[in-house]
Amino acid sequence: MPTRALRTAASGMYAQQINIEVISNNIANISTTGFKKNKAEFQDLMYQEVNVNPLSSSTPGVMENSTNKIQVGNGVKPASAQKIFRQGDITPTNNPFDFAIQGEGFFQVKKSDGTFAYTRDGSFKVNAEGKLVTASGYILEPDFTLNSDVVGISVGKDGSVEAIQNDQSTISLGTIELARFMNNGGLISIGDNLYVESPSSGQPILSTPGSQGFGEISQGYLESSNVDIVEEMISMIAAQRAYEINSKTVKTVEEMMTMANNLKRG
Amino acid sequence: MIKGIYTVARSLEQHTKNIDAIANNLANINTTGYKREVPFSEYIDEFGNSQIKKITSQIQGETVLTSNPLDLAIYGNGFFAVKDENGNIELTRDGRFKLSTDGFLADANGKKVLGKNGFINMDETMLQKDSNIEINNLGEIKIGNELIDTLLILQVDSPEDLKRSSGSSFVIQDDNYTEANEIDYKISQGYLEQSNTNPILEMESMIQINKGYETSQKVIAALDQSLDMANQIGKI
Repeated sequence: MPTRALRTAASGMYAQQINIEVISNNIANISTTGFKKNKAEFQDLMYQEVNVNPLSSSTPGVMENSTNKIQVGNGVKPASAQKIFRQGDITPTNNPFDFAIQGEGFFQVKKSDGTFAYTRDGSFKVNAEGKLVTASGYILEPDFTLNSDVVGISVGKDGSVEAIQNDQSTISLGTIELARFMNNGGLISIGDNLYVESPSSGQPILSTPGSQGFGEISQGYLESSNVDIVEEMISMIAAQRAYEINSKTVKTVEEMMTMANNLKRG
Repeated sequence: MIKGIYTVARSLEQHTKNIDAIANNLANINTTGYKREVPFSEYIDEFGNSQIKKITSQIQGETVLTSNPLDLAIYGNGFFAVKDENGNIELTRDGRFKLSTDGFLADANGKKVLGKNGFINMDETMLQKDSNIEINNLGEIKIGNELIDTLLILQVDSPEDLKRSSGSSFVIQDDNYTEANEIDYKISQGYLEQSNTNPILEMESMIQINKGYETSQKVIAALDQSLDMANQIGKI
């Protein structure tokens, strides 16, 4: 009985289900600042060599030592969900603590355990100690302390931070540094719009914004999610049709099995 | 007449194996670098022996933009070469590469990618500032202005000898490959080649196989009926 084709088609349906799950996560994050879309990746499974007996041979029930061999595959498996680090649209917010990176690079933030995480989400807030923190409370690195005299900050494209005092004079607080990686695809997402480095991403390379290979900072702007709704809809249609076509395989094989069952009359 | 039944039964068996191939093509409709298997057919060669004609379609799949610097697609003829732990070379069109933990360029399964000078190590140059990984049309890998290596692209003279292995890879016996000519291929960085499964062709084959199976089944039923009649002859 051709159950291999049934299993193969089932693996195809399962893969498309994972595909839809990844697409729906992208769509759910369409308004998430700094979100980078995922793409489900697949891999074919092992192949098996099977004998094909020539039609002309007619010895009943004998599997001849046929030299005619074909390779039959066993289906597909989901391999990974790849992040696509394409630039998202930059939208104005007029909030002085919102920063967007135009080009390569990540903001570096310090997690509560002292290790670093990296993010494209530049919606910072000021905490009780006057430091810039992310929505989850992680401190931007290198950190700046805004004292009670500060009425505003101004951040240049090169990341230089100036505090505006209440007497309208400005003092320099330092420079925001960006981190980039040789292989962004190797970064591990840990949720909260944060990434951590892995051996395959390489070590972070730190530099000031605007230097060669690094993006510039725009104050008062945020980077939107890079999910394109039309693209996701098209992927969803393709995934749904691919699911459907695999179910057609199941139906066809089922019909063939019915015919096989009807070979013997009575 | 009994011989006829066995011949038709063989054809049922062959149809079953062909539907396995179609099912695999359709299951891999989204697999990067997958090449579709054309359903096999039988033919008689000049010496009167029956042979199986099987083809892996090497038609170019569509390429899609991913913007990942280590995603590579080949336009034209040729395969990337990767080496597994046992030192066997595998050929693949799946260019989803990454860096292994020890700094080598590797495929999705951790098999190291071959350059013209062996494995491609990026560990030392990884820490350099102001540099991107740039891979040009010829497969030259540059970090900054420094040339690391050139990707080894292989060609095979007899594609029918390629054996499939998992992960969209092929193996070939007796190292029966040559280095591809530079004019035959173009490497695109930031792109991936999609599966070349064509759902319309697969549906067409599926209908054909299904109907072929039905025909064979009808032939068996007809032969069965005739044999039944033959049995009646002796009856008084």
